[in-house]
Amino acid sequence: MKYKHSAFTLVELLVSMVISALLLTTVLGSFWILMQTNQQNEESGRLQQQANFALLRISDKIKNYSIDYQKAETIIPALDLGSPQTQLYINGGFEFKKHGENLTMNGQPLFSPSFRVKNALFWVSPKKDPFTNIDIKDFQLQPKVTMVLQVESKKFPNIALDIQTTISSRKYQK
Amino acid sequence: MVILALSLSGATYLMITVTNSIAENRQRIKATYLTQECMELTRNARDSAWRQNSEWDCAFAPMTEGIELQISENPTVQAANATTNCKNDFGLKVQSSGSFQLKKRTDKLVDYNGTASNLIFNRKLVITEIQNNTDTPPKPISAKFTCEVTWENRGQPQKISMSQVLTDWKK
Repeated sequence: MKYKHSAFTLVELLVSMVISALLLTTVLGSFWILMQTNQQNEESGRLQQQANFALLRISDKIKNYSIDYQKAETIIPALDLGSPQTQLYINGGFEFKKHGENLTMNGQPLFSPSFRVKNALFWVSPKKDPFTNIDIKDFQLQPKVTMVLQVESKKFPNIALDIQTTISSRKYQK
Repeated sequence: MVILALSLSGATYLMITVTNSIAENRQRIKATYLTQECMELTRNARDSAWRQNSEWDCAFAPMTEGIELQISENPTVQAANATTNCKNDFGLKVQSSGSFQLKKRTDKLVDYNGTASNLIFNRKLVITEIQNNTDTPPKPISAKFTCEVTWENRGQPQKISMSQVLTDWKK
């Protein structure tokens, strides 16, 4: 007695397996790409948020307090605040400083550890205290600080931010 | 195969779009801070004039309607106004023609160390709506300062603009 079984041949089976593998690879690949893109997008948002927050903190102190020239001169013996510094001293006990891979305010990091602060530079103008050097006209300028902040993500080095801005002090004194 | 191609191209397109969007956002944030800087420099010039007992607008003289302060090829930080004895650190350089230049800004630190290239942002400051007092000759008592930062992103022109009114104060 003869039995007839309908079945796939080996070739058909192999072809279907290859197609399935291709499909699976594509779907998983697309999913991975989407996940990566989403993660980068989130990381970029976090970086922008933290950079804005850090600059807001610094701006607020520059606007509402005066620059602590006295402390700066103590810390930097050959004072030349006209050249870039990695620290900024504001009266009222505020200290902004690049510490390791972070920017700190009174020792407290302003960025989460997932970010690397490559540069945090401050240019103070005038470079001498205008309120004590009252007879030198070159220094009779309203104090201001120009800041450059360069931060990148440790996980995604292509997610980076490079900001420059200047804040003028609102403390007025003749 | 069609499903395969659609799926892959869809994911790739999304990735490219998001990547471009991230880059565009990054440029926009930088431009916003540069515009803010421009506004702060303008204010600082006005305040510095007060500290020196100079005319409040001495850094901007002559206060001509619509005058444009352009970027400078020379990253001169310290600048003095040519028409008065007004000192400022505005990043402005007064040209012999009487027009103004604003410090150049690139995506690197060219303003301050003068070594970088690859300029992408242009800034200009435009003075308008100048209000004069009743003196003879009339003197400006306020003006509107508009700062524009422009750049190109993949061939598309981009612009951010901010304005503020500065007045003669604390005289």
